[in-house]
Amino acid sequence: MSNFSAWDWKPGSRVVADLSARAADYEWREEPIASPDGESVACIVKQPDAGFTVLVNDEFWEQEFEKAWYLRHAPDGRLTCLVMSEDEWTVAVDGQPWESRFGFAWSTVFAPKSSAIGVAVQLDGKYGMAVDDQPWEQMYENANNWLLSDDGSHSAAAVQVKSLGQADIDTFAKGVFSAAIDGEAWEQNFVSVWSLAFNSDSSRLAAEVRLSQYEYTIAVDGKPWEQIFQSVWAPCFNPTSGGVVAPARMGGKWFLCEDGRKLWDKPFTQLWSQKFSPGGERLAAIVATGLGHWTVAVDGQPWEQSFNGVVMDLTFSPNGRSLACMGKDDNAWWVMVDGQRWCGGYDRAFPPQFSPDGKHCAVRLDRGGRYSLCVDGKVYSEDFDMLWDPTFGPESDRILIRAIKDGKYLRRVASLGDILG
Amino acid sequence: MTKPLTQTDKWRKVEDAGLDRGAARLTPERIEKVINEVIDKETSIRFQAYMRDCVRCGLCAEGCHYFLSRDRDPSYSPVAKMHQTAWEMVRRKGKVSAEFVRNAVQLAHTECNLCRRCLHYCPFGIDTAYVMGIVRRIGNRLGVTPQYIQDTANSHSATMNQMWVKEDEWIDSLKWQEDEARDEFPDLRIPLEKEGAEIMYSVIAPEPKFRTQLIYQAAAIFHEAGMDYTFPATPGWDNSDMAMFVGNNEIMGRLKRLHFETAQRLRVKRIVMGECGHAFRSVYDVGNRWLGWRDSPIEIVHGVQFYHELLTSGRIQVETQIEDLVTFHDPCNIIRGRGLMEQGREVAKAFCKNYIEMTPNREHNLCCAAGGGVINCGPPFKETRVKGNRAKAEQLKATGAKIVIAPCHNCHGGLEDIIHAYHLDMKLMFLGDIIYKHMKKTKAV
Repeated sequence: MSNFSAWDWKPGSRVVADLSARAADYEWREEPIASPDGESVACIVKQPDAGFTVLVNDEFWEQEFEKAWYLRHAPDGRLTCLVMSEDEWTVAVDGQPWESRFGFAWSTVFAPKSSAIGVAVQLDGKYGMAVDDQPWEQMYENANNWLLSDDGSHSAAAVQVKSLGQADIDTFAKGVFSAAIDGEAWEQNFVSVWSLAFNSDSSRLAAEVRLSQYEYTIAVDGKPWEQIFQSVWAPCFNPTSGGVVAPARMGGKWFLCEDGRKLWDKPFTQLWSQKFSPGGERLAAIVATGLGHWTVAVDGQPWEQSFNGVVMDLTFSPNGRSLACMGKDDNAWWVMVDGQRWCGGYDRAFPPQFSPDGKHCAVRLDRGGRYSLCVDGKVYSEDFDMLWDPTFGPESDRILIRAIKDGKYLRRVASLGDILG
Repeated sequence: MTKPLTQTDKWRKVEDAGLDRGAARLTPERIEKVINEVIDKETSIRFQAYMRDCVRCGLCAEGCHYFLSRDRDPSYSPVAKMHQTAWEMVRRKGKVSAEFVRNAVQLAHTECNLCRRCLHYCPFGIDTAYVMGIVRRIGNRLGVTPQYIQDTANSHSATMNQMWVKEDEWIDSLKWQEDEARDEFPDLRIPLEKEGAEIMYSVIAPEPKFRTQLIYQAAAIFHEAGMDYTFPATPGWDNSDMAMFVGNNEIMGRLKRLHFETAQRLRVKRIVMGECGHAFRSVYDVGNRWLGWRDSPIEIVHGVQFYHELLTSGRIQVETQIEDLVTFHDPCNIIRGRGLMEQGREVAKAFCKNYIEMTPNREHNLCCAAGGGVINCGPPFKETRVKGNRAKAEQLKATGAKIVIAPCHNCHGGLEDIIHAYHLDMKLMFLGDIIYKHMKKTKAV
């Protein structure tokens, strides 16, 4: 993770790159992406009568490739791209391709608290992961649900450990899937394995598993819970107790369970995306209290405000005191913080961002095809052709705005006072 | 409507590993437990009302292509199908034999397309398709489901798509089609994972597996129309749902959640889906509601609606028209289910100089005999399908058309078999086929 305190937080605005400046040097340009610190903007470009490369501000990567896609910044700011040369795929990081080559590479994954870069790979018809240029030693018939632990020390995926003939429903029913950590599969097989989750120190792995056609539970480190459910959704680890928390369906209703037992007594029509506050004191989840009544429940109690469309992007403030989400009503998006709706609705709203002190919340918005920013319910005076998610400064008094306007990419640090008035 | 319970007749029974092996594993206790669990705990007043209110008048028979095609054999009427399956299960309080379950499941899977045409003929509005869905659910919970469709449901749970398409194969198919299309449109892109695009385009898994030209055509149409769209590179790209048709609601919900959340992750404003009927039913009617949504959480636009929108807004224009006589087949799930009949016709007529209607048409049109998961039951049941839809062959033949437009994949599969088996001199097309061939291509070389 890059040290964002060291970024340039001096208030002011500057044009970092004119996106049309080198237009004569390429046939077309794909969607630009801004670096986390706002200092660069990059895009994949097709060069005239040649291959693809990446343009960063006004500099091209030295190498060009037959194909290139999925341009993404790692949390530490390095720029990654999936590239193909001579029919082989790999990952290029800041223009430098890995040495390993694959039949295919996709789904780049990052560890939020380390510099590790992982990617799903296929090699000679077998599937697994490669992390920092090192593919798993053991590869599988098929694999999915790719994951890196927070500290990047381990990778995991759901893997198919046995071959399956066409329409072989009997073998499938016996269980040919498992979870693999760093390429090594759990001993027990399951009918299905989905939604893997590491705990905070990467020592444990949990997953949704299907024991038979209609028997679901959670497996932790390869061992399923004793309790069986009608269905389950993705588990997460309780940072305080170390237990595993997951939604489970019983009697046609959804409950939140910990280690197989009911954690919240109240049942819901739907319950998913549970999330602990950073310190683990509070637990929230997206719930439906009835058909088409979506809201958030905190420690088992649903907020009064609900939405008929959807609720998503549940986000705790760093101090855990505030909780924000996006909600959709009649095709318009609203921001809801601590159970109260901000003025809305918008054509689109993106994930909420809290200030480090947890006192402010900012959201990127789309209104009629123009992007703007909303901070604590107040919409910024200017709109943009394109805008990335805002980032609060370390003192919580400034916001980094990364935007494109009139063909120019600009980096702006605005004071909160100027935005809120 | 008392007599013929010919469902157990040997001539009608088809060997199938999923049905036969599944039934062999059953015990009377398990059968009774599962039937009563499903009926008592999973069905609602709707099921009870259907069981109670049907007066066995038999008017529904005229609605069923199996009845019409099988010389009006009463055992093929919807009321008889309910009699031979759900009614007996209820009447005997689940005390039915393994053989009974096996045959009931075969019937519910292969002699009813869940097309809901009979609903239009019932004076009480009884939805036989719903009842047959409950029978399929009971069968699936008992482990008795035709082998091939169970395999697609397994594929859904393992890969989140219907055809065991692996993640790299999906992406590679799109990259391949992009390469192909650049010969015709030099600056064409098939955008992948474009966050904030207006549209996420989703297809069913047979497109990358068998019909990649449809992806090419869609990309060409999007490109010509100047649309801001993306494909997802992750599972969730497949909108199809055979889990719905085997009655595995839990896997159905998982699929639909992933489909909708993929679109939400990409922050698109709406999902446009290709020309498929059952997938549309799953997103607007069934899977969405199992998850707790009253409607879909993100706007869903069927291919027929989308093409109509492109045409009427002038984003695509007609360059040439088909001279041959053309007719239009109304897929159950988008016509009876969602009323898109006029939009489909308007697009078809814009590109076709000579157009003729089938009789009957629109919501009264006969089913293709492939939908409802019936074609997915695979080769063992092909004859059941084809013989069960002589009525459709006669309907098609009477038009004299040389081209049939069917904006649904299952309809294509079913009608292709009908056309071949009954020696009809006709060609099948999607709306996308005719638009791609006959639109103005201002950006092509």
